[in-house]
Amino acid sequence: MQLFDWIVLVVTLLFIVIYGAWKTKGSKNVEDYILGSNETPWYMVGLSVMATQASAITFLSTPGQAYHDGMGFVQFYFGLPIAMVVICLTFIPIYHKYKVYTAYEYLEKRFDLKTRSLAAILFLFQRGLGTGLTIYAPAIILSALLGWNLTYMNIIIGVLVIIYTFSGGTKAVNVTQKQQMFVIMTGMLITFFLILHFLPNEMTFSNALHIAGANDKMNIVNFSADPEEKYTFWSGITGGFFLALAYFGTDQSQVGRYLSGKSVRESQMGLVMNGLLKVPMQFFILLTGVMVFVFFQFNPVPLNFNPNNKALIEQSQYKGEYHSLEKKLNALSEDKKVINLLYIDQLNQDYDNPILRKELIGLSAKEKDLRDRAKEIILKADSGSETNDKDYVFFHFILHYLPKGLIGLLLAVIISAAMSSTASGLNALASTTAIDIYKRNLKEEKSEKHYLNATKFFTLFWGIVAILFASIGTLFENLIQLVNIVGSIFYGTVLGIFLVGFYIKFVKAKAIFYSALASQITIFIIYYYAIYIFPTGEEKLGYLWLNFIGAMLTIVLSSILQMTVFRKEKR
Amino acid sequence: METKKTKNWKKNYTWVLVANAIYILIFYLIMKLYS
Repeated sequence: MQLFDWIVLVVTLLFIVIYGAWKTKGSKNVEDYILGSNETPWYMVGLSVMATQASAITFLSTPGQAYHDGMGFVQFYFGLPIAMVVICLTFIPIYHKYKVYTAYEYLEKRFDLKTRSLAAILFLFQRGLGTGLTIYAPAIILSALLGWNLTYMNIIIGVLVIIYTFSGGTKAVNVTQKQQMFVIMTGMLITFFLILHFLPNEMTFSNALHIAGANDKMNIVNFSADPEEKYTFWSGITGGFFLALAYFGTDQSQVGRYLSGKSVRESQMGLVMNGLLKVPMQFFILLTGVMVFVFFQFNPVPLNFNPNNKALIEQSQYKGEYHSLEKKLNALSEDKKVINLLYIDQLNQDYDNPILRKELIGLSAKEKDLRDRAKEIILKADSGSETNDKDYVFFHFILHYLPKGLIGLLLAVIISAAMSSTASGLNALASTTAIDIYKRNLKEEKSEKHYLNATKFFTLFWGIVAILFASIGTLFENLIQLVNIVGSIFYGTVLGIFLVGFYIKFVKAKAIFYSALASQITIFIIYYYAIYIFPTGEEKLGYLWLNFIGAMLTIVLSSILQMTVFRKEKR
Repeated sequence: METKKTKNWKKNYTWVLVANAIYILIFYLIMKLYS
């Protein structure tokens, strides 16, 4: 990091924070603070929805995922556009009709207070953990790569977000997310074209794709019905659909974005924008990762991208063994470079040489073997090490190969992404605590000013909780996994409650409440016996399926209970 | 008038799905061309 990088980073972030806080200061009432006075135009709704979902991990991990496993991860998003259509047709008109501040408010109007409180508490638990993670996850990666103090990073990111979210509420979140998305997309586009520029002169973009294809990185769509394959067209369309429906339809951090829309139509247009742009955006981020892979076919590459692992090995008795693997990788990289240049040369003469392709596949297999052996050595040095280095690939490239100033811009991209997701999380946590828990349980009606101050107080409260949680994050070994599991465990049941509310009119309050509880307990049991007791990678069920099972169980059970045990219940 | 508006909207939603189907088709063609 040079002085110019620091200037770019600090000026970009401070501008966003100060402009956001100044432009949106002085909310008059709760409606202003939580719903942004319903003045948000559709493109701001769309940008805000996209910025909320795109966390720092999206830009750190996704290119690394493509580097190692290719483009197949894009299939995870195939169900999202269908979910957007369902939400536009059903969820948005109903939320607007009931003029709700939070999604859970609807549940009391349709069922009862118990069901509303259950859904709100499940959300607070899950999002409270998740918001801490959106700060912690990038901070731990950046602190490893840059040597920065982890606690200071958590506090700086957290405090910057609190300043404008506390001051301007939803309006501030929306205004800053517009600028954050601009910074993010500008940074990513510049990086993508720079990678292409850094490739050998005789190489065209089409040649780069051929090299990626020869190394098995261009398997974008997989129609296999094998349940053990993680990302396929079918799992994306079904599992991805239910996850997107739960996330965008019932998670207040997203519902809050489109409830601030000027009208039903503007909110719907915002989600249509997300449905149109999300898949190409993910494709582009993955393609950037694949281009980083092609770049490293012509440049020196480390055995493991995580600098902590390298430092660990250097201080262990396995240093010699690891260095000998590094030498083998360097020799292999030289061979690969020669074969790749030969392959390009023949491609330029319109000949896709099958022998050279086969040779490239063989060299890739050897490289994978070397990396696996390196992981074994790292684990021998410390069995608790994280050997999966996909989170570090992209930033390794940024730090070592991008010119002055751009490193600062890319850091601003990552921190902006962390801030945009955190801001939506804090805003949603504060709204839900203030409206669904605090206001609903107060014995006497208070003034608008009182509720506005209460919502601001809860924004500050959740901001501090998120920073504290991020700061103790290192105490939990598998934090990211924990939060993913918590999300998948609760999303299905909550989605089931909403779907019954919208589509199955004969099911009443008692039936939905008890079936939701039963479904949640069943999900815990399924999780324990099909996932928890198995080592990572050998689980009998993917997390994604818990969403589907939870939603289906709630729907079926509540229908049966209403027709049998609670058939006389009219409300 | 209202029905016409609703129909236009439904057409818009269909376009979201059609656009994504075209994306997937393009991905498939890229895959066939370069894999």
